[in-house]
Amino acid sequence: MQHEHSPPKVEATSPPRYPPTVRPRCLLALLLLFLAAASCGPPRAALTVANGPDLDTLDPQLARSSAAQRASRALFAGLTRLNTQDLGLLPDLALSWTAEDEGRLWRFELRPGLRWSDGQALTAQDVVASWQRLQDPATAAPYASWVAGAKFAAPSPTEVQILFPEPQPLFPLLCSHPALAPVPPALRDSVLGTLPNPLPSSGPFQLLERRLRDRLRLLRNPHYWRADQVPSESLDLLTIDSDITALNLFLTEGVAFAPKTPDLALPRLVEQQDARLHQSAELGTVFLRFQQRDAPFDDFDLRRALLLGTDRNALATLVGHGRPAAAGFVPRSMPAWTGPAWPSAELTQARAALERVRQRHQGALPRIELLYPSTAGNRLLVEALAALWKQDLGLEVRLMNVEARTFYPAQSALEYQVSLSSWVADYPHALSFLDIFRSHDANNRSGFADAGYDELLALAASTLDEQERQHALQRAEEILRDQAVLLPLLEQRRQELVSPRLGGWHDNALGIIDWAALEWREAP
Amino acid sequence: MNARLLRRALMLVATILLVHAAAFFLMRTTRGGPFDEARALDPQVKLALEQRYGLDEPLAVQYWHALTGLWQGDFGPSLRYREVSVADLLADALPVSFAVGGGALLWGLLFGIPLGMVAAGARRRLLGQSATTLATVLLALPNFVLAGAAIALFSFALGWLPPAGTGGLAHLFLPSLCLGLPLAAQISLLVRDAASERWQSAGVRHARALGLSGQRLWWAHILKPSLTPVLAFLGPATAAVLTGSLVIERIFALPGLGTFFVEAALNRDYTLALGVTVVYTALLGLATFFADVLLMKLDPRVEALS
Repeated sequence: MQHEHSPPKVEATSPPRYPPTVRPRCLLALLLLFLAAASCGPPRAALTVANGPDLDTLDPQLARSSAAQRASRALFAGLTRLNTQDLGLLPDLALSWTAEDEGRLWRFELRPGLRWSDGQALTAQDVVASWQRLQDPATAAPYASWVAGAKFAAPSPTEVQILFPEPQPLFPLLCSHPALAPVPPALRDSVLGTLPNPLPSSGPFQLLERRLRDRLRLLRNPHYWRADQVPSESLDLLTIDSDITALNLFLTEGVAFAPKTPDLALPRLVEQQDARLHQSAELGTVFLRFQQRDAPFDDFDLRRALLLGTDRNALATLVGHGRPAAAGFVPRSMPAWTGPAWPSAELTQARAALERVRQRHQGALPRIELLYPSTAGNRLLVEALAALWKQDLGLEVRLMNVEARTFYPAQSALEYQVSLSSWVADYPHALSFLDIFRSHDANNRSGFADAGYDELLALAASTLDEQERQHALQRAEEILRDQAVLLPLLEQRRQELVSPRLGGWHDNALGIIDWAALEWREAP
Repeated sequence: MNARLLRRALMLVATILLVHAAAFFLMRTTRGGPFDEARALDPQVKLALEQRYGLDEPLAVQYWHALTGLWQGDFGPSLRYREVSVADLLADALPVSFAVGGGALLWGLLFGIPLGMVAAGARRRLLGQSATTLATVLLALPNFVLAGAAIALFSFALGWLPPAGTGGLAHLFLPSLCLGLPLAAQISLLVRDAASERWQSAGVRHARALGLSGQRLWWAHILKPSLTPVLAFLGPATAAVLTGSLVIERIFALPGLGTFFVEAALNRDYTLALGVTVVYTALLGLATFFADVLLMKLDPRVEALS
């Protein structure tokens, strides 16, 4: 036995030489394969920016994600565009527009000599055919409702007419959205779900190459009507899923812009007052939906108790990461908007409302479940909220997280009690927010239905009097508040990283970038 | 030999069919669909989309379409990337994953084998124990820690390499290193154990008694036989590294295949999920098959036993 445990004699007496370098042929083959695959890479563009996750589509009529809409704005010009400084409306492909018949009929006069990037003329007929495609149910365009029931005409190559069954006073504003930008004949003629190659465009850039999940390489469009003002010869929109990766690239000047700052890096950048961090208001709100069709949140007192008893300022301090407490459902940064005041942290009234609920439930409060889509940021938010409710109201909440694709169908089917939600405006108007709580809107997802609310929204959508519209919308938000339909929590903030060498940049609440003005300046 | 090859090929086909069917039905029994998003689509728009992609048909019909598509090598269009077919997505992603995975294999073998031999040859000395400790640490470190440290050192402190993105060999250096070092650690531990065992074997003792030493002893009598477990390990490991890594691809913003495994499932991109599953199964089967063939060449006892 002793002999078995002792080290072998040969080892003790003659230390081995270390092995020679290993050079099997397969390693050489692997190296060659590796080098061959790695050797090709595009040269750097004049301007490179991070564009977030990969685009779901390059078709502007189908684009929904912010990354896809950012790319669409670089490629496709609308009849109008928004001023990136104040979100005011500016002409783009259209020189002017007029309304007739109380806003049912709109006439747009296009700029003369417009061309697609392939040199073909861009005419009023292109605009009409594009809007017909948007309207066609087969296109399955998410913004098809914006031209529902409309009739189109092109009396001349530069005049577009659109006739709505009801007045549409905000239509020129909608025309600044990529969904209403004219699309080229090649795209209109291609089979749905396919893209023509090349893809002609009408905006400041044209598509040179799409490397899936890597980048879009764009070149300046020489036929864009203000091409002489576009300083960048080429533009790369990089697909970067991780905010931290985008930050790393930004810090090493690999990109001039990153659309989001990682939460982890935010405190340090704020503390250092880093000028590269651009924090600005965003037209977005984080809120809770109450499912009010069924118990327990069909009980007004329970909804009201949570609305009154939630200390939104404490929540913003705890987990806001720079986002302020929401002052209402429509963000206060909405241009020309003065919404009604919503209550916050009125604990005495909240406890009284809860007491009434308790009495109706034989002395016990109903068990509350809060459903939220699973992300780290959401988890922190709902945990802080649950802690506040327990501390201030003595409420026990069961937090239920599910992945996003399970969450949304559950929310649409009203299979929840309370659910975490957020909304970001499509265009800079309160209507873009309040519209979603119309009784039959697909985004209502709460069971709330009120004929008076629907009438106010219909009035706001159709009146030509802006003051009347604002008043109707304010009344509508008051209904949401008074019936405790939802609980606003935080206002969204844009937290973008912008290099000081990036010229032509302006912060704005919709995150719209004027690609025609951006320029990567040489280091001083 | 030929009969064995044929049997293995048939088993691979059967495995792919089974995995394909399991993936198809598991995906469809999961709640939520590709068009359930934060902004709900108008019901008519959603229906039009489902009709376009054939999702309104009975499940059996959809499975039949998926099966015939598999036979033709056509997985259909991706439901997430609207204008792109699954075949195009895979064709774009595979070279990236192969380049990073190939590099990782290279790092794994170049570091792993010498490290294992050092650990075996000097196992009772500080050098050998350091080699074993290094391998253990590399094995224990999560990918993202290794990647973070590598970026901090090579991109920020030294400024030698880009922290992410694509564009050339420099962009592949860090991701392949971070993917390859844990592999090197695994290989080194396998080599160490096999070489240590081999060093104490009667054959090596006999060879040394006959006066054999140096390169020939190490190469022919210790290293070569010690590679047998490495080859057995490399079969599945090759398939794993060549099909990418979610963590590494996200950290280094690489458009490889690894991200698809998770994203396709989370996005309910049924067609892409099926395509990725089939490709991975095929790669795993092929890599294992080639590893087996190499094993038989290297060690005739394996063929005799099988």
